[in-house]
Order: sequence, then C-alpha cells, then structure tokens
Amino acid sequence: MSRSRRLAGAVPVLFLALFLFTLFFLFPPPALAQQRPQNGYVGAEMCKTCHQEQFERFSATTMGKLFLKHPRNAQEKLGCEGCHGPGKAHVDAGGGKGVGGLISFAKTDRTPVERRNAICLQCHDKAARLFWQGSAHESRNVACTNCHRVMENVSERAQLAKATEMDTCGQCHLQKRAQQMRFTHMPVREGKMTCTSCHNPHGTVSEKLLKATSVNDTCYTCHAEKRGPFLWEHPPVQENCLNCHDPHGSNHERMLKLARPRLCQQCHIESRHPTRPYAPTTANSRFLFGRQCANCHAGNIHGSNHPSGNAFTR
Amino acid sequence: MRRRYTTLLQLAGFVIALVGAPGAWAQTELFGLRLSSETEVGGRVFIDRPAKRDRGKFEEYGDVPGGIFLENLRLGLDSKDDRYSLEIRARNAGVNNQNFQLRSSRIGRYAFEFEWDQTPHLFSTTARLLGSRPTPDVFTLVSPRPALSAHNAGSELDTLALRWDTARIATTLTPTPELDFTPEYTRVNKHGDRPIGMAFGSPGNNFREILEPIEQDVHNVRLALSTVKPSYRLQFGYHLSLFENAFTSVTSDNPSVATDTAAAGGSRGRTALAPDNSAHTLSLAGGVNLPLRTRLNANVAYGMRFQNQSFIPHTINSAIPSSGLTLPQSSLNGDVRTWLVNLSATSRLLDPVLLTAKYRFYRYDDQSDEIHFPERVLNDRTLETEERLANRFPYDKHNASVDGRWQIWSPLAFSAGVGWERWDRSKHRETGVTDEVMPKATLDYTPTDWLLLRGTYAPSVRTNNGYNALAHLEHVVEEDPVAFAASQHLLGRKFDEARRERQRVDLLSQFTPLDNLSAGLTYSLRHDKYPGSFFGLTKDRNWAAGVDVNWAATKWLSFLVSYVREEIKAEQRSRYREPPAQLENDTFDWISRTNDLIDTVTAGVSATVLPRRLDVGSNWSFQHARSKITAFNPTTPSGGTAAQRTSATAQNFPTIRDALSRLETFVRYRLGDRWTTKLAYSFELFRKTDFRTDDLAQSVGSDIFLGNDLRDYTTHIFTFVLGYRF
Repeated sequence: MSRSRRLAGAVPVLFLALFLFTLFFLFPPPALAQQRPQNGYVGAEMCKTCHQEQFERFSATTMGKLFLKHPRNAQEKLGCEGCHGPGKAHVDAGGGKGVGGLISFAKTDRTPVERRNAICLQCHDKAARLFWQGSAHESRNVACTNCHRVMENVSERAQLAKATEMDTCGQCHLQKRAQQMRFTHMPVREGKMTCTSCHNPHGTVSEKLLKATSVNDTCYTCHAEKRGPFLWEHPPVQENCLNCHDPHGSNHERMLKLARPRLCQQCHIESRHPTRPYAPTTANSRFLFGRQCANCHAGNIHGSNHPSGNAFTR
Repeated sequence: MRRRYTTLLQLAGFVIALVGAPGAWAQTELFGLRLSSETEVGGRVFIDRPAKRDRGKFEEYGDVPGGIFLENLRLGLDSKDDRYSLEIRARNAGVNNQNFQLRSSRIGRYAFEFEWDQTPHLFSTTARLLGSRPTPDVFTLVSPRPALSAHNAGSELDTLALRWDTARIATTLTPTPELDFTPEYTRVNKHGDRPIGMAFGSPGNNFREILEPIEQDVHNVRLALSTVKPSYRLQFGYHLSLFENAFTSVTSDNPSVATDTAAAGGSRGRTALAPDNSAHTLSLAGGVNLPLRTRLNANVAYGMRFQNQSFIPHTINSAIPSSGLTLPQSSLNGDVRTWLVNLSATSRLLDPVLLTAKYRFYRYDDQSDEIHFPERVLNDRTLETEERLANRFPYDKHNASVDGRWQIWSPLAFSAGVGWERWDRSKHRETGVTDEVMPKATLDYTPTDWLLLRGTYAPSVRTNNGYNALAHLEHVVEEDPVAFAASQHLLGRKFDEARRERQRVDLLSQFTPLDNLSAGLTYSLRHDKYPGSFFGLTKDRNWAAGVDVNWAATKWLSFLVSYVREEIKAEQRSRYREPPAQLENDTFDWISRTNDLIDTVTAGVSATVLPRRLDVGSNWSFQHARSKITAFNPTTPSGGTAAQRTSATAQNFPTIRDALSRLETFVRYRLGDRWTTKLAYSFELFRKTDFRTDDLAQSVGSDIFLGNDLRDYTTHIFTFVLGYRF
C-alpha cells in the first residue's frame, strides 16, 4: 500500500466532509425536539388518581424522581405526560385503554416504533445514544421499551426490561446467551462482565455495535498486553482477534474457534511443521498433546518483542 | 490461617449486619436522611465437595468455600426529597471474587461511582513442576539434569491461577440537561501465573512447559464531553491506555542439556514477555438534523500506539558466537497511528421509507522501524545467519453500505441493501486487496401485534487481486532455496485473505399470543466456500437454532424453557510434506472434517405458594459439546518410505466431549416485611474427555508438560441464606 494510495483514500472522505458541512450551512436544520401542543395537559397528580400503583413504582425510579420531584426543564415538568402525551382527552373521555390518543408503550400500542422511540430520544440523544439513528437495532425497528422498563426498577441499573443485561439481550440473542454455558467463556454468567462491557446496543461507529474503534481495540481494553506494536507481528492477530477466538464462549480451550492443531493448520501448511494426520505416537505427541502448537509457539503467538522471536517461540 | 481470618471477618459482618442493624438502624431515618438496607448472610454445606485436584473448573472464576458467607450487602442513604443518594454494595465479601461499590448522585446533576472488584481465573489445580523458582521469572533444574521421567514426580502446584483486581472511578457531571462530562479511570492489576512453553529444539522436540509470571497493570483513562443543542449534537472523547509489565522475560533451564553448547542447544532458554506500551485515542463525533427528515452522524478518531521497550539479547547461550548478534538498535521505536472516519446518514423522506447510507474508513498505519537482523538464534540453540527483516503490516479497511426499509403496508416491511468491504493490506501479506460485496434482503411480517416474523438473506462474494503464497518469505532478505521449497505450500490459501462465497440466512420469530406467554424462535445459517483454496480451509458451515418460551401460567406460577443447538463444520485439506523427496507427493494429501455439535438447555419454574410469604423455584442448565475430527486420504498414500506412508495415512482424531449440568432449587420464606430466609440445593456436574490433556504425563520423552488438566467433578451443596431489609 503506497503512500500516494493512502493519501488518495483520504480524498473522498475529506470531500464528503466538506460537502456535508456545506449542506449543513445551506439548509438550516430544524430543532430536534418535537413541537408539543401548549394545552391539553392535566398534570401528574391527575394521572395518579387512577394509576396509583404505577405512579408509586415509577416514583422509585431514577426517571420518576427526576420528572416528578426535580424536573430540570419544561419537558421533565410534564411528568407522565412528558412521555405519554397530553392526557386531557383521555381524562375527559373517562379513561380506558387506548382512549384519548395516549402513547402507552405497551406491546399492543399501535404507535409506530419510530414515534415511540422519538419520545425517548428527546432527552436521550447524546453520549451513548448519539449513533442510534442508522444503528442495527434502529434499522430492525427495535423499540426502546423492548429492552428498558421505564415504569419500575426491574434491574439494578439502566432500568432494563429484565433483571440482568444477559437476560435482556438474551431475549433475541439466544445463541449468545447459550454460549455462556460453554467450556470456556468470559465471566459473564458469573456476573463479572456484561454485554455492555464490549457492546453499546444503542449504536456505535464499529461493527457489531462494539464500543471501541475496532474489534481489537475492544479486546485491548483489558488485554492491553496483546496490543504491541511488536517487533515481530502475527498479521492475522494484529488485524482481528476473531480470526481465532469466539469471545462469547467456545467448547475449545481459550475460546478458540476450532480445535488445535487444526485451527493453526487452517493457514499453515509447511514442511517444518508437518501437517501430519493424527497418530497417537510419541513422535507426534508434541503437535497434538497439551497445548499443541502453543507448546512451542507459546505466550508470544500474539506477537514477539524478542530479537530472535520471528517464529514466536521466543 | 487466612481462611480462619476470612471466616472471622464474615462472622463479624454477620453480627453487625443482622444484630446491629435492627437495633441501631431500626429507624429508617438517620440525621434527616432515609436509610435503607439489604443484607444476605448465609451458610454453605457441601454434601459432596470436589477434592482440591478436581476444583479447577468448579472454582474457575471464584472460590466456593463452605461455612458462613456474606452474599450481598446494600446500604442506601437518600435525602428525603430524593435529590441526593448514596449507596454501598458488597458481594461475596471475604472471598477471592469479592466486589464492592460505592455510588453517590444528585439526581439529574452528577453521579459518582467507585468500584473494587476481584476476579480470579483458575486454570488448574493439577500441574506439576520439577526444580526451583528462585525468582518469579526464573525456573531452574539441578545439574546434571534429572532423568526426564523425574518430571512426572515434580511438586504439585497448589493452584495455577491469575487474579484481576480492578479499581474503577467514574463520574458523570450534568451541569445542564444539554451537557455531560464523564471522566473515568480504571486500573486492572493482574497477578499470578499461567502456562507458557519454552522451546529448546526444532521443530517441536525438547520443550519445557513452565509458568509465565504475571504482574501487569492496565490503566485506562477516559474523558468524554457531550453536548446537545436543538440542531446538533457533539461529543469529544479521549482515551489513554497504559500497559505495564513487571517482567520483561522468563528464563528456564533446558531439561535435556546442562551445559551450553552451540550444537546440542543451550542449558537455558529465555523468552521475551509482553512489552510495556501505551495508546491514546482522540475522537470527535457529531450528529445534525438536516432537511427532509434526514439525520447525519459523523465521527473521526485518531489513535497513537507506542512501544519502545529495550530488546533483550538474542540468546543467553554463551556457546553461540556473538559477533553477528549485535542488535542493530536497542528497541523498536514502535509507533502505530490509526484513523477512523465514520459517516452515516438516515432519511425518512417518505413516511414508509427509511434510507440509510454508511461509510467507514479505518487505517492501521504502522510507522515502527523496519529492522534488519543479520543473524539470529533459534530457540537459544542454533545460530541462523540468514538476514531477516522485521516487517510492518499496515492496512486500510473500508466499509460502505446503502439500504432501504419500506413499510409496504402495515404488517409487512421489506428491506434491501448492499454492503461493500475492502481490505487494502501491505505488500508483505499474501493478498494486497480483497473486496467483498454483500447484498442483503430482509422481510418483516407483523400480521398481528403478537407475532413478528423476520427473515434475512445475505449472500456475499469476496475476491482478491491475486495471492502470493510466499509473501511471508520476503522477510528473508537473502533467499534460501531450501527454505523456499519447504515453506508455506503454494496452493495453500489463508482463509482471511482467500476468495470466499458466503450464503447467510437469519430467521427470527417472536410470539406473544397472550400477555402471559411469549416465545421466540431463531435460526441462523452461514455457509462459506473458498473456491480458490486447494489447501487450508475449503468449506465452513455453521448453523444454530433456538427456541425460548416464557409462560406465566398464573400470577403465582411461571415456567421458562430454552433450547439452542449449534453445529460448526469445517473442512480442511493438508499435505504431509517430508523434505526433500516427499514435499510434493500428492498421495500424501489428507482431508479433515471437523464437526462441533453443541446443545444447551435451560429450564426453570418459579411458584408463589403463599403470596408475599413463600416462593419456590428451580432452574436447570445443561450444556453438552462434542467435537469430532474425521480424517481421510483422498488417495491411498504411495511412494516414499514405509514410515513416511504411515505418517501420511490419515485416521480419525478421538472425539472430544464436555458436559456441564447445573441445578438450583430453592425455597424462600418471608418473615414479615424485613426478614427473608432461603434454603437452596445446588447440584453441579462437569465431565470432559479430551485426548490432548487427559492424564497427560509431565514427561513425554524430552517434551516436558505441566500436565495440568481440568478434571471432572460432581457436587451437591445446601445453602441457607438469611436476609434482612429495611
């Protein structure tokens, strides 16, 4: 990859950025917050009259404390109606499910998901939610309330729909949840890690909703000893940890994707390392027993800083 | 002694929590603050406890001691108006996986959190090691060397384990609803040992497995400033990561050689360990709303990674002449710069249509020195005089996609799009450029509000601009004909750079026919073919199917069942190559088919026998994995010697299996509003069959293993927990 090619790669990016900034200034952007009607609101106390139990549970949540007791702006001062919409029509009609055009956020709510989510995004549109638009979950029409329970504390934090992140994400990601039972796994089911240790389900700039800028940068957050740069690099390792590992859990040691030595032999077919079929002989044991290839290509298979470490045995 | 201290500590906690709390804190108000607390203290009795040697897997991520334990403690202080709060939590206090948290907040203004966590990782309790360890990074044997079989009687290590101690301080400041500032600092200290091999011969024979001493620190500092305005959002971020390793190398005596020689090998070997390094990442992200219901997001991140630790010498074998082994420079001057540019635009020009376009560019620019080494030493044994160049491997990665989702009518939505991925690698890799085109179509059908059906089909084709199977030899400055012939096979293709044809299908259905019944079904298939790969990975086929049912039969009785089956298949072709005459004997080809089949079942029931008084429940999880490698020769081996033909004859690998079953059943009784008692019975069973590690002797000729293994276990545990809350 020549230097000129590298520079050429940056040109379209700069051009696009310039174009977008121009667009921004040519077309004054509208305000993000939805325009709300100025009347038709009845106040949270009126809601409490009929919805006492929900009101009490909501009052114990972080959002409840903020909206009902310490609002910081006009939006929060609306209390229940800040999210459900103005309640006058509902009250005037004598209440009832689906009456008065309120947004209930229930499974049976016919309000389009995009509109329901927009209510949440009025306030939750920065920090971790900055890249919600265009994210995998947004494009699959996932509602905020699929994962979050706003009206009561079910989880220890983040007002999740289930008691734990694993249970919440596992509603759809059954395979990933099952992988936690594998022979080798990170300590997620032991409660030492969570899905959001690596992922941001609200959208990121990386593949698979990873929080860091790449797969490897995600892993380096804890496994910084693998980062290098090393004198002798093992390029597939440097490019993507997932070439060899499955971080959600594996039936092979060290969360490897395939049993060794066949894992290494997916790429290496050399005479120095006889890709010899299995034979339970002493002469063959060094390639098959213990940690197989890593018996010799040991702790430095991720890269070596030893002057004679080009084969990762030092 | 330590266990006694821990027990006393736990007992003191028990007394304070259960006796002191009701007396001293019976009032739920203290100095005008509202006080709340939850304490769970218990006792654990083993009916069948795994022996110490069998606890490797059972206590993988934390000790499970008998006796008294403090499972959970929470203490909360809230101002009467709910404006301020302080919370302290402790889990597993006194055990090696303990966790403590302190959180404080002013609602809507700031949140502060401190966390201290210990997470052990136990690798084995059966390893044996002969000789001594005068310092953590040096392993010695007596001279003359003990008989190799003496390694079978080495001292058994109590545990082979690591522990991560993590301290984290995080704050979120929200001076106004439009502004967030979140500084965070995390320090992870890792200490302990893990297995590492030290090679003395080549290829393979004569190695010794020892312990890698771990005393490492990882520091992460993150700063993020987010602001939101009616027309745009901006976020600035900075991340500093530092890695420090207390050990630069590990040294071991050669179990077969006691005196340094230039021919038979050195008496010792030394391996470099992970060098200290640092990384900085700066990022700027933003989002704006444009006309025509369009949202634009952008992100730019610039990263710097540095590593400049001094090299250790080529060898510690004093018999090897050092004239050509002078290091060209003392360290790498490791310097990597990364760029990430990300742009995405979403638009809802028309109500039923959502359009999304994305572009992502990632650059890994390795500006470290490319160093020539005139000579080097293989495994502290053999002087190799060919000149070597330590190459750098920069790359660019581009991703772009365009897709649209069209809500055709209320119950049906159709999405279609196409993605593109390009890797542009350095000339030292086998392939310069790979391009992958990934069309995708998705159908969402929601005929009623209780049923969702979704199907996605996403085939893709990856091409490359040629494949140089000998690219890796470019680090050999002077070409060696022998090495050339015996190196990577010309017909081999590395799967990450090879041409690939992929078929991918994902199906998802979710049913909620009743408020109290929900079910999910998932199926995914990924089928890869590598049409240009004669050797290496040629086919890869994975599928997974799962079902998940939750049913609340009554308000007091609920069930859950979940089942997932996954199958992973891979086909690889290899050639047994024996230089010089049998390098290209195509009857020595062999094919292996790997088949991993994994079943996971979870089932649970919970019932309320007496409302607000008596609950019972049971959860069972089971996982079974089977890994088979079948192998065969497409053609019966011929030519060469009888020994070579024997070596080239394929046979099936023994099947590898593991199974884990966990059952927990409990009865919980509430005594009033404050006291809870829980009696639980737990059963765990673990079985593993792996020919590679089962009963592996420490000495297999001159190959010396630690012989560590994770052994089967069965355990039955009764636990009694007393909880108090106010």
